[in-house]
Amino acid sequence: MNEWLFLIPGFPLLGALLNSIFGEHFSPRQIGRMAATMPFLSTLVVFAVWMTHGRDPNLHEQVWTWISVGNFHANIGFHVDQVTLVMISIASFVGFLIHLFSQQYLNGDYGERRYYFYLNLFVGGMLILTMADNLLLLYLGWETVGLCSYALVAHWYRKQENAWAGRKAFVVTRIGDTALALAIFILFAEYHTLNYHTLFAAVAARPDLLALTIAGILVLIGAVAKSAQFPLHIWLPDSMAGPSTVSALIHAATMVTAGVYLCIRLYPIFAAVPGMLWVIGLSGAFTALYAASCGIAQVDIKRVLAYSTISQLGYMFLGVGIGAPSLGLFHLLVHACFKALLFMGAGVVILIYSDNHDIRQMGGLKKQQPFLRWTFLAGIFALAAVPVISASFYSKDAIIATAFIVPGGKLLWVLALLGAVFTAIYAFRLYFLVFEGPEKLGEPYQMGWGMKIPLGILAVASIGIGWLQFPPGWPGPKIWLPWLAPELGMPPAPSGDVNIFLQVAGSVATLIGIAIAYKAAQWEREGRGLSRIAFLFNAWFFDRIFLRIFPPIWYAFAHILDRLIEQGGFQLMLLGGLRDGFGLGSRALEAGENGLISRYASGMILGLVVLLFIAWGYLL
Amino acid sequence: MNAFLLHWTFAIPEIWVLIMACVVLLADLYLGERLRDVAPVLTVLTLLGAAVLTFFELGQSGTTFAGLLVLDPFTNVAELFSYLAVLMVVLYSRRYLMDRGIYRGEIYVLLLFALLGVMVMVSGANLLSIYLGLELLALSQYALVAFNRDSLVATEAGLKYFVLGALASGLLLYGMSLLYGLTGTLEVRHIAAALVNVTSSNLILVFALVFIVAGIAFKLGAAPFHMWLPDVYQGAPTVVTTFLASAPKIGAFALIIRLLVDGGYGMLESWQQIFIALTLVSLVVGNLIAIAQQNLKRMLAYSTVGHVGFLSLGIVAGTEAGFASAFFYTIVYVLMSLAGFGMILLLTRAGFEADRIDDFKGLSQRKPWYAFLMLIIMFSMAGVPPTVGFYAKLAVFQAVIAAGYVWLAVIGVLLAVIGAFYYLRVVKVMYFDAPEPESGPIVRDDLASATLSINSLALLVLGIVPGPLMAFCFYAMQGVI
Repeated sequence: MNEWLFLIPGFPLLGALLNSIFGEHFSPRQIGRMAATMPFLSTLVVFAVWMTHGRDPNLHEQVWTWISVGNFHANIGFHVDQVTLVMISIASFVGFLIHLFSQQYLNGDYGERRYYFYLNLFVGGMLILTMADNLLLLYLGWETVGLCSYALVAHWYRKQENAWAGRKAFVVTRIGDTALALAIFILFAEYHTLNYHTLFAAVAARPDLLALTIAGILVLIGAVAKSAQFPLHIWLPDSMAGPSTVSALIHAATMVTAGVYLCIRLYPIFAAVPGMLWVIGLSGAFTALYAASCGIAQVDIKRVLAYSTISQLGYMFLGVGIGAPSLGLFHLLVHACFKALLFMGAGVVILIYSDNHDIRQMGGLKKQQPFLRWTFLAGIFALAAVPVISASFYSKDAIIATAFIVPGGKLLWVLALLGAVFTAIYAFRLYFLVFEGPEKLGEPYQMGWGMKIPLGILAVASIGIGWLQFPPGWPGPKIWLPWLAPELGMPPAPSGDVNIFLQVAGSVATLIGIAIAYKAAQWEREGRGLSRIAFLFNAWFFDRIFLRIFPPIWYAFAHILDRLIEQGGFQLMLLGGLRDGFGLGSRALEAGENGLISRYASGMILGLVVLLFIAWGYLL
Repeated sequence: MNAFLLHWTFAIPEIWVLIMACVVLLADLYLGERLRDVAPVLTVLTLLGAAVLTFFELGQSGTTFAGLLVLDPFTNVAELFSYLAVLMVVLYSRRYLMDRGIYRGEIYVLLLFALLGVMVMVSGANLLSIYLGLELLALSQYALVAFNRDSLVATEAGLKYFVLGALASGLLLYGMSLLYGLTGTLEVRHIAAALVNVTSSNLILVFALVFIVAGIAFKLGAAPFHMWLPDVYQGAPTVVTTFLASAPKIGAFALIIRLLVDGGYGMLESWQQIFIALTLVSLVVGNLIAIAQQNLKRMLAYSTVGHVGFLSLGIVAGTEAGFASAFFYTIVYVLMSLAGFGMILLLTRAGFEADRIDDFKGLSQRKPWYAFLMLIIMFSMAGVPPTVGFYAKLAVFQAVIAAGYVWLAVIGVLLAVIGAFYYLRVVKVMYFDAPEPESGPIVRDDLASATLSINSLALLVLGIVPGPLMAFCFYAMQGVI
């Protein structure tokens, strides 16, 4: 299996390449099918990895070394362990389902080839990111998915605000990208290697607290920006301008989880710095609560889900921060399933209501679209973590419960539990408003099998995938944590009375939330809903405040640089001095070459004499 | 079998090219009127055949014809790349020559004889055979430059090249005769043995080395022996310019290997100093003057001078890695020039030479694919990663730093930055300027277009995977030192 790993990212990249070269010779429909085949082939390879090495994967493939200078090696090397295997399964399989769903969803739209090109490239980039065995290759994937995110958010670029949203997503994540690059530089300068394996060994052998702290903070900034955590979350709600399938793939299931993946991957670095993990946990818990509170007041169906994504990612960070990265990864997997489902479902809902995103103007869709209703409801169950019968109950509630028992975790637990209440509120408020209540007719829309199959698969997963790991003290399989233990260790688990208390608390939080949601939906229909709370509706005004403060400061800074450095320094010095100097020198030298053969011959003889003197002088 | 003919099979590729050149000449004479493509097709077959023959010789080594010719890894590798270069020229040439009414067999015969000259230079182990090869190449080149005899600029360029070339040949020959006087032998390896007993401060030896280096520098196009280059590059038909910038440079590099390394490696310190001077002057002159050029062929000529400066860095290093990197640079330079001039060829049509930089204005709107290929070519010439030009520069810098000449590397890098200016200006013109109305339509030419695509993309691919080519260059340098 080792020597075939490159095929996993290779197929989607090949698809992007073929599309870009031969795309114009085929119809968009054919291109779409070709594009969907590629992640399917990747999925098959991933499946083969599961079959052959699933029990204890530890695969490594060194494809080739691009540059090797001193102790810097730009290696293309892939590594597959438990964490990677989970990530690539999500990226390839969910990626495939979304490609499949796109066939009908995007049919007849403009820019389909471009869409499939970026979608394929994205899946390839995501697979590289997760399979890389060194930080440099990870960064390549990191940047690739960032680029694709930008291009796909701005996919319908003919509308000004969509292009603007794409730019915003790009610029904000750019902050994190830069921080991550700096972190990689620091780690390399300190430990002279970028390979995870040797890097972690070097960190363990010789922890340099200062360098690790700075690098850790920078990595965290990178992860926070990519995963849309507070305060760099402001790009994600706007990125909903892209097609719903893009939101499902990039802004729910895969790219935004790259930050979580990075934190899990570089866990040894964070663990080496005291207090660092707690900061990650606090950041996650606060974001979880904050974004959930914003979610309850949104009226745009996709913005509800966007804030929900931010919030859910917060729980994953919380999982990493409290020393339970395997639970964080568990929730990542669960979230990928139900959030991709919800986004695709929302995409259909938007189509039915002819591009109207306002949930207040929807209602009673359950009669017209029973299949959509049941699958969507499965996703909502998972999002709200309905006890026992939804996957999130086993992942998210486990994180919240674990937060309670780790040192310094009580505060995090309170934040996370409050967040869980809000989560249940916005999840069911969304469901009640869209599918229950008085029927508001939209356009009839017939979902084809290409749409129903992905939704069905994901709905089943949203309910059932949590049963991989039952809480401690329950009968039932406990597969997930022991399977990950060789790599991530066993997280602390509550026991006894505390355990029961925590589980009851988590369940009660959800049920309270659902009850409030029922009322909230009624209020909303009556025109006096939560959306009237401007503070929550505008996401605590952070976006506006940031836009008010930072761009002007940045423009002023750029302006000063322009005046002082560019105009004053470079223009004067380079244009005035260097350029004219080179120009003069160039013309002076050229003047010696006037096309006359005698001049050329004498030049040669002169050169010869000078060379003679040089050689002779050296010998004397 | 007598001693003279011992191992004559080592010279089979040379013999094959010689015979085939005559065959092409005859075939064109009798069939050329009816089958206009007979000469180029036969030429391509000749090159492929030669490649096969050379391929079978890989791994063998020894001398033949009483030490006149030598077969070693360098011979094989350099010859293979020479075939490749000539093959590309042939593939590029067809439409250009047709448009100008000079699509005749002679040009291919001359190309083959010039190639034979390069092959003899590459495999020469005796001052006589080396000189013969050089002159065979030079005479063919003079005729090629003036091939379009009705063109005033072309004949002028041919004459200039001839006069200055004769002068350079004289210098080289003078240096060789001094060397012969000093050592009493014409065979390169015997010269190397004899030089062991000569003190390096010997004035005659200094003269001999300087004259030989001057002759080589002329062929390479190193400043201050470069002045023919811009005029000839600009004046010659573009097909011929493409050739001038390709295989002959491999031949000139072979002169360094055969004369200075095989013969005069013991005198390394002496000619190293001369090469440092040549390198510095070439880097400055080439890169500075290129800035002011409006004509692309002229700009590429000066850029050639600059490239020769860079490749000389590897020779200055004087180590195996240095020579290998210089050889790598030479091959890369050949590929880049072929692509650069090939691009000009592709944009020309009857009465329009497309050799001004302004002719490339707005190319990205007129033909995006060509603009992209030209982008790769220019990036590669400027040494921007991930193109192979970056690797070539990196390799020579590494070699020269390893040899202890950090200051030379610093100057090289600075001038590479200056050089980037005029390469990137072409890119800027292609992508940011509006096309000029007189640019007119681009004539369709599938053969040349496909060749150019492969050629340019090779610059990118080799930049991403430089290992095999570099290993090949190291293989070529086996046994040279």
